[in-house]
Amino acid sequence: MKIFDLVRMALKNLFRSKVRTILTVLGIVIGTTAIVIMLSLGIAMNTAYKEQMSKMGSMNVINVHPSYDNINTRRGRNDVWVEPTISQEVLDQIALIPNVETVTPFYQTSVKMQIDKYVAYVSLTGIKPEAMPALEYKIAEGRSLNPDDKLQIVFGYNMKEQFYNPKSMGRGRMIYGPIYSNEEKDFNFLEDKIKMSFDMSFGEKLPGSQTGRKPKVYNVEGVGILEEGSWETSYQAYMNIDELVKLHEEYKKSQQNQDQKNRRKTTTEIGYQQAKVKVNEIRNVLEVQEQIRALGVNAYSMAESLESANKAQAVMQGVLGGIGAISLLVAAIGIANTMVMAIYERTKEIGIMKVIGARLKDIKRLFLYEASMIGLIGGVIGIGFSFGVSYLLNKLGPRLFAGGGIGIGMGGDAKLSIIPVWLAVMGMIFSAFIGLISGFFPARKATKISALSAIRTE
Amino acid sequence: METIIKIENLKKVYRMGQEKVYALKGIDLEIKKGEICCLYGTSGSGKSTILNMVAGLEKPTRGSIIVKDYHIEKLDEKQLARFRQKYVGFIFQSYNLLPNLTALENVSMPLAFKGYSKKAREKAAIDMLKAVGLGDRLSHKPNQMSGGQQQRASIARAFVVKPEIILADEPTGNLDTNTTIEIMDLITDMAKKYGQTIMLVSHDTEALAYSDRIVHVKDGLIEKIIEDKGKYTLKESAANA
Ligand SMILES: Nc1ncnc2c1ncn2[C@@H]1O[C@H](COP(=O)(O)OP(=O)(O)O)[C@@H](O)[C@H]1O
Ligand SMILES: [Mg+2]
Repeated sequence: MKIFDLVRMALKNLFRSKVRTILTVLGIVIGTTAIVIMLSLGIAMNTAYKEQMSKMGSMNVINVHPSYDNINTRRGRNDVWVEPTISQEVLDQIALIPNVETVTPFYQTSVKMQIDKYVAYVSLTGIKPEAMPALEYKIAEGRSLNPDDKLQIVFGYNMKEQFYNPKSMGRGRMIYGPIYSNEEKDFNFLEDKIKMSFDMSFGEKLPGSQTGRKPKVYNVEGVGILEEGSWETSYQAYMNIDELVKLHEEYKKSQQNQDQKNRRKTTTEIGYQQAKVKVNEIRNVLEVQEQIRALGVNAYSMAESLESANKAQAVMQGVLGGIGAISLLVAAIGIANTMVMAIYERTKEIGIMKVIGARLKDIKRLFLYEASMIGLIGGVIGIGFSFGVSYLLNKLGPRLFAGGGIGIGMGGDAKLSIIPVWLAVMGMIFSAFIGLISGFFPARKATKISALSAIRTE
Repeated sequence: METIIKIENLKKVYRMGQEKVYALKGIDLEIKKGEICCLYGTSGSGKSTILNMVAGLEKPTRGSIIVKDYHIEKLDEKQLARFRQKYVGFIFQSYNLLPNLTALENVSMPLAFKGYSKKAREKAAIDMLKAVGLGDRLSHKPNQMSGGQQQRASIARAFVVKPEIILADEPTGNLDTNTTIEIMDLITDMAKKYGQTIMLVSHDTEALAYSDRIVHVKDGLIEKIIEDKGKYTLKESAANA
């Protein structure tokens, strides 16, 4: 018998008992959906992981921040807010932890810059120039910082966005920053003159800013622009840490002189807002991180957040995989049951077919095809269903899982579930295969039916 | 004339729990090619059992059945299926059409099993249905046809593959006298046309008139064989019974 004829006959038979077929197909739909969604989550996670690897920089770097836990003890004498920082002493201790390669402090300041008619609030970070290559700051244009650089600055990839023309904007809007502007800005960090000041009123007239006093202005020089990539570096500017600390101290001193009547005392010791610790190998990161935390500072790493994300992911995948496997197993039993019932119902028909010339393999195939068809139909609907579920997950997921392990450190556009074409195709083939296997035993049973049963009338 | 079916010392014992039913107690019979042979006897005498064993639907307890060159009792299920497909057409008392298929589909079925294309088998099936007078009932389902029409369709199904042997177990058992005569005319005419051999089971006396030879079966044994064709006319047979 021709395969096409068998397929048509199988479909016809399935159509005869619609309700039973639909119920059996439903089982396969649920099983396929659960398994495909499970795999799609894994694939999405993998994709996001790879993206993170490229965006978030190095996996073997630990970011160290001051702890905000002991904030009360760090208050100034007159209850003036003093931002907590990491002391040099702590950094020295970190450097002694085994497997630590380098400890790089960051000194963060906010400055105002002016280029031509444009100004910007810039988050200027002091860094050791020699640490930049180790921490994988990749230069797109110009050069990195040299150890003997002083007023030289490397800009993050998106820094240009930060600059705006105060004259071309309404007054009120200026208070709210950062102000992104799509306006074509005809300046170049590497060629144009750049002025910088710690005074936020520099470069434009702000409502309520101090008047009369001229802010100290430095002429700085742009030497390089970083590659596109990390959100961490894109909106930063970098400068030699020693020089920045020096300039900032000067500025604070001048402020202090001015606010003499407040008798505010600033700490003479220099603190850092951030430090990056490079660990020799990724597998040592978590251990080092623990030891750093023991020193009373905050430490986080990509390795750790990925691990917790992966754990949450694994739990979810395990649950879905379990549901999928169980429901597919039940569905497979359902197919087998349906086929056995069909065989009982059609005993006489099978007998007649045998008498009028059906080969054993025709009978066997007929039932195998019916079973596979249930699997295939269930698979196709299941894949369609999976695409729907996947779409909803991607749409609602970020809200659903906000705060959970999943999505940590992911960009906003990261997908929770990705179903590549190969997965869809494999899903259908697999469910058809499940059907085929489920049909195997019933099909064998069908071939064993005695043709005589057809002839015996009542 | 060459022998196409040779039955030797055929015995069949059914076991029903402790009890043994001796359905056939030693049948010897030769059937010639092109012959119309009728197994005649009361119900329960063993006629169907003989026919089923010739078709290989049942295994003999003892003895042998040789059809063409095949020892039917020695073939396995697979070989039997192939043998039936190639040489045997079966007509049942209760028609046994597949209820969810149309007349055309039913008649096409044996050709589909032989691997004919849809076009080829439908053409052959339509020709055959026309030949049995069902040219206007192609797309009727069995339950939309009378008993006589269903039996015609089932005859068309048996003949459509042009088998060398037609086995018919009480083909007119459920039909009235007039229809019986129509159906017997049809079967014997077709068989004559294609040179087919017919083994017929009947206890309808009308059927006897169409047979070349009448084998009287009684209690699992052959009681007598009436060779002479024409000895029975319709009237005589009625009187005889
Ligand atoms: N499967 C079976 N099991 C037990 N006894 C059977 C079976 N088939 C037939 N018989 C018995 O064998 C005998 C012959 O049956 P059968 O060939 O059908 O008779 P006929 O067709 O001449 O009416 C009967 O007595 C019947 O009861
Ligand atoms: Mg009988």
